[in-house]
Amino acid sequence: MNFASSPPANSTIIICDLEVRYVKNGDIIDPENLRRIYDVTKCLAGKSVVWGRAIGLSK
Amino acid sequence: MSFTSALPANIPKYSAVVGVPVSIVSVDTASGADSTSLTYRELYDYGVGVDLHRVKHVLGDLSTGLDMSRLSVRAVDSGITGELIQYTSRTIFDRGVCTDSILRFFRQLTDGGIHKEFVVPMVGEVLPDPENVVEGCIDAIDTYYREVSYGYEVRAAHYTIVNDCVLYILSLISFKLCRLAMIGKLLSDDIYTQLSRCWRLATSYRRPKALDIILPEHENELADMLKCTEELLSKLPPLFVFGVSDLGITEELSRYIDVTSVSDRLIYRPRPIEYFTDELSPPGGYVLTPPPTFRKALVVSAYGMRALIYNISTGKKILWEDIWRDRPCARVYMYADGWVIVWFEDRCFYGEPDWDYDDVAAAFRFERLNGVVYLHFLALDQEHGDTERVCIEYSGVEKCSPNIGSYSGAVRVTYEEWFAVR
Repeated sequence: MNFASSPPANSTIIICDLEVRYVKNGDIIDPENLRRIYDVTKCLAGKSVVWGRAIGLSK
Repeated sequence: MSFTSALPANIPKYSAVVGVPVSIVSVDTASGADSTSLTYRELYDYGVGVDLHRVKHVLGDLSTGLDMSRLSVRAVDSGITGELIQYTSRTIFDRGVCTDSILRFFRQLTDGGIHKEFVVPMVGEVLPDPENVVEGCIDAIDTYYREVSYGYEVRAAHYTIVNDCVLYILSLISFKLCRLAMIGKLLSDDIYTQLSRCWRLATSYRRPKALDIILPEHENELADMLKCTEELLSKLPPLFVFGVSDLGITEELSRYIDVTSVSDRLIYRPRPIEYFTDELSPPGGYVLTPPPTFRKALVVSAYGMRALIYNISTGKKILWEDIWRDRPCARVYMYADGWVIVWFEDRCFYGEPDWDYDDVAAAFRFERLNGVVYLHFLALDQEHGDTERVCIEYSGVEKCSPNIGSYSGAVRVTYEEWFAVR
């Protein structure tokens, strides 16, 4: 794999009012961070569902 | 020509990835419309026709890598008005492509010199509900919480599940934007640009495979695509208004609908009704979401609803689908939370319409309270010289407002009632 080697400039990012931390090489895997990513994903999924149902036009 | 049977078997359902190759299985321009075809006139009546070139212009900046030469399409010649295009929503949605695919679909058609006037959403086909797909992803994530704790065994799926969900979310949004575009509702360019950016982030994610070492980028790129998606969602319009936004809202009507002006357009926000929020999700109280062809569906099938007015003076009545010299005698608006407002042109009574549709209106929606579905009905009026009565017919039962005498002024609510319907 050919990943970019430099980490993002900011160490954290706020999404859905939750703070997600950017990971650097050498960091110990933090399950809480991944759980927050799950929370954010669920938050955005929920928002998209609400918006989608408000728009309608599913069929 | 068989349509679905020739689809490649290796396309995953809901693959949700722009760039997934799909096969063009049918481009059939033979004459003879099938049972799901619509005539030009039906299209026009439904109001779902959309100028192909306009959509192409607006969506033309998208630049993702879908190979549209392999999109499944079908062209139908109505035999009356020239060629119409019909493509299966299922085909598009099952592959998780929407806006981008349709853009390229249009481009292929136009660049290929095949003149098509309209695109038509599939009518009457049972499709997977894209919202349900996203909800399924939420459920899937829930199963991973238990696995992710200190000392846990890291698996690639712990990361790819988030990527999957983002792809589904983007598919849902794309699908909706696509459907909106098909009925002529085009949004600002920055939304499509943002959508494209999110697609790029989500589809370029280097998904770890089983036994791969998890690298920081596997997690960081998830954060980036999630942030992009949040920004996209923040740009999306909060609701969808059917029809032209020229409905005058008065203080009285504002009990139900909030109107704000953004740039050069009005935004209508139906107000949530608190006492209907106990069983409904999301809050706001809508129960039904009509399809694009809702005007017909409303009358014929799902709603079984007919709005009409009576001219008490002459004894004549007008249904909302009545036509006078090719123009409908009512104009219909649908709001995001299910309110449908039918503004009548009452001069259809005399054959002297001025087509301002500002005379009397029936407003209705279904609401649910404690397990009972109610039809919430309002009579509105603004400008009419005759005494008229607004009625609504549901399942063969007609409910009417009292007679409403002539009136000229701001839009007002003259009658309100709830009817339990089941």
